[in-house]
Amino acid sequence: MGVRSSFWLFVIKRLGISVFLLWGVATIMFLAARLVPGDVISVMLGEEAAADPVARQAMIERFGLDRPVPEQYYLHMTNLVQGDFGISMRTRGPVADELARAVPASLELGILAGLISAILGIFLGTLSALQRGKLADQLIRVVTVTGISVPLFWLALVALYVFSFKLQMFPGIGRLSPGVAPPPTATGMYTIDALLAGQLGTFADAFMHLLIPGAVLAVFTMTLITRFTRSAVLEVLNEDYVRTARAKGLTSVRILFAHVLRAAFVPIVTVIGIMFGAVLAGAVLVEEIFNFPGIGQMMFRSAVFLDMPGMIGIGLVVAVIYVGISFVTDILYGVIDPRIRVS
Amino acid sequence: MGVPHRRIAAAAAATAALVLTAACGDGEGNGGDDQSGGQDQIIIDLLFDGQEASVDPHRAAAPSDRTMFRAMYDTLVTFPTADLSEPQPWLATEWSSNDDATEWTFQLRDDVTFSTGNDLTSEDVVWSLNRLKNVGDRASYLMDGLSVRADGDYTVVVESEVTNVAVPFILTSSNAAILDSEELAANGGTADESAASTDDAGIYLSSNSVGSGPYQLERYEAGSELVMTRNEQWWGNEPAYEQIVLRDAEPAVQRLNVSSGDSDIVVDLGQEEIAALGETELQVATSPGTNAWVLVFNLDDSVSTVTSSADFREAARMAIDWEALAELGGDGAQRHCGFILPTVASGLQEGDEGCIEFDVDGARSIIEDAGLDGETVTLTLQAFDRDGVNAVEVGSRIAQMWQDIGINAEIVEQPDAVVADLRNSGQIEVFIVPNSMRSPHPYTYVGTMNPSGGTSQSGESYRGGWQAADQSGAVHEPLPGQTECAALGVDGQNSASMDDAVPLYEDWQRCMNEVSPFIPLIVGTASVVAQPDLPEITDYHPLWAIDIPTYTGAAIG
Repeated sequence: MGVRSSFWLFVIKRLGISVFLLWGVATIMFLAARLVPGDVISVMLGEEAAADPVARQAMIERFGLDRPVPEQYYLHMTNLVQGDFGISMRTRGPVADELARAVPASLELGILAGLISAILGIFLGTLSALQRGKLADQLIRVVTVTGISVPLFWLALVALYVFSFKLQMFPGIGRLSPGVAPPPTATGMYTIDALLAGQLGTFADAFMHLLIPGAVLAVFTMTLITRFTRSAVLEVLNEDYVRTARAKGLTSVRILFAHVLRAAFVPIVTVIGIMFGAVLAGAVLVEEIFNFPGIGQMMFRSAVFLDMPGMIGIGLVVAVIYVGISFVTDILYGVIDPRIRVS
Repeated sequence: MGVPHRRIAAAAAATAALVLTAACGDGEGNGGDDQSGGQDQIIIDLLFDGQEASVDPHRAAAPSDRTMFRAMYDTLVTFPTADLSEPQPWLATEWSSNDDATEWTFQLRDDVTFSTGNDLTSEDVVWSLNRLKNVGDRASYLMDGLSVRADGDYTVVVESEVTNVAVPFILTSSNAAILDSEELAANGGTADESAASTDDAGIYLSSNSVGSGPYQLERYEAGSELVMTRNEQWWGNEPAYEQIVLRDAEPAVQRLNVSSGDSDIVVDLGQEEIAALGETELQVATSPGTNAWVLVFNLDDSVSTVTSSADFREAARMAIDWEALAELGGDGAQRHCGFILPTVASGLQEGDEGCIEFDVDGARSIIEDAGLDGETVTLTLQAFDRDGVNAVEVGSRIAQMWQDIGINAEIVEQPDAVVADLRNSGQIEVFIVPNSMRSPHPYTYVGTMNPSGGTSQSGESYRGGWQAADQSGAVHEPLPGQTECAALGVDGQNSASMDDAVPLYEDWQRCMNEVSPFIPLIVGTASVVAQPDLPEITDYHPLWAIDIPTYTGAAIG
């Protein structure tokens, strides 16, 4: 069997595992939502209407809660397969519609946060390693310790206060300024959709609204990437082949990019993949503070409300994102280091 | 290596241009070529504290929902100002009742057109109020005991099963909104008795307006933003602003927004946030809060042998330092020890009657004599603020006060769904809750706060384990004074005039304050903060925070 066919076998296996994982997540979310104590019907109807047996029964039937749990599970899973996530108990609208709005919003924010954290993290980590023990290294280490220690919600409020309120460099909360109509939907990401529609003003507005929450969200992951990059680069710098490259008279820049960073990238890429989870976790608070209607905000509000269809929908989306990132990370290993691809 | 450098330079230039383009926008989206919000708008920040259900006035009933509905959907009568003593004409120009106040006749305007272009007639009123009643949702209780019929194109008769002078007050609720029946029926709406299971218009209403108010819905993003634009069919004065934007924002963010000019008006700042504004040119209008914070003791001895003890309840009440509690609400907050309802409810004048003197020594000796020294009670609450008063702070302070008399209070925070479950099963020992404005009339409170009995196994009293009889009909031993107290409330409800009803409701509250498991605590303050160049804001509207039709000059008269 050749290397190419082994690779595809690997891809198929990973896909199979991914489907199994998603089924597991959907099942666990379904069961967890039913095990959590609480009376969501009363929250939906208010206490007066919930005391009316007719109104209560109608709502129970509307959400299929009168059926046996195995039947609910069967219906739930068959609906999921058909892309039907059900009706949200919180918004009373289709969960799929809300996800269709929330996922692109969070992706837009997450991609920006990921880019900021990856670029700055790798840069600072490399600089810190190259300047080991010097002032720059010390300063960067102080920054990273601070970044890990600072509570995200506090940082979000401070950033909003300083950059939006005091300096007025950036707009405030939301995805767009009040009253600005969203661009025609193509991807759901306002910056891209605005560019596709040729609406530069809307693009500028959407982009500016992304910057502060994106930067806040990037802080935690950036500090971790910085620390990982520093240790990875330090490890590679001591390798024999790096000394050999120096002895051959290669320039420092060439040694750094061609030998050091390339070798250090495998652990760094792993960390970046894992860090996306931290971005999602951070989005729960950051999106709530910035009134940014993404999956973080949806997750928070669904959980507080005990909105079962909403929680299951988000759980699945997050699982898909995780599985997807894990999949892409595995593929990237092979691209960065051919030895992994062959093995 | 020259080419890569040029590529890097080009990429850097493109990135710089991108950021520059973004930075050159004014941050309001107006720096570009399109879709600008324009100057003719008001941005209002408020907590979307409802369940984020669709923009359906017959279903959603949170305070923020009321603000929205008031601007988009008309009601027969209303309160255009903060004075809640007498409903004012709106869709109905005049109204009257028969002698025993069981039949109310409303005369409608004949010049009203919905934003859809259809004319408003009495059929729309009948359909809408029946839909409110039959959808079996949060505000359907408003129509309990009421039925509606048309008497000609522009006359509506509301009949009550019992004498009910509160009917016009009840119909001021923004939930009693009049919708275009033809349009909504064509889009999944129904007013039939089966509406609880067959009505499916909620999704349609999330993106369409079918009202006749001065504004109509432009777009709604659940839990984030609602944008309204002028309704060209509006029957009153032209609103001064083309667009109203309502945004969901936490109070701390609201303060930043209004300080930086990012918001025009904010409505959820507590006194701490108001104080943090410092010396400011912003308009600040403060009014008494619309929530009366109360303690609810469980009287069921199978749930708690402590709270079901009359000695404990007496001592617990004596141990409360109302003045100290009021400090938690900041400037303007008031002790609330005489009445159990919000003080802004119509026609009521709270005095000091019913306030029990703060007496720690007396309370401690009662606890010791009753053998309750060292007992522990669980104090359940939901961690939120109302009118600048925080439930956790109130709970903590009360726990301290009870500690002084030998009672340990264990504070437990629970989310909505868990609290609902515990309350409906009557399992909460002590509960702290803001008794909010259900309606600007005491009528709707009597049923829920008088002891439940027979088939009426619901309401605040039921959740507090206060039952006159259980479902089997077995009569429970009444508390001393309970029967007389309950009768006062019912007499208030059955009064044929407000003049007769008000003194009875006041007596009912004083009596309830002594007898019932409800202990009133504190009323906070509610505020509206606005930019200085906006029209003057004089007060916080108890029902919709800010009355958009009046504020924008759309209201007639």
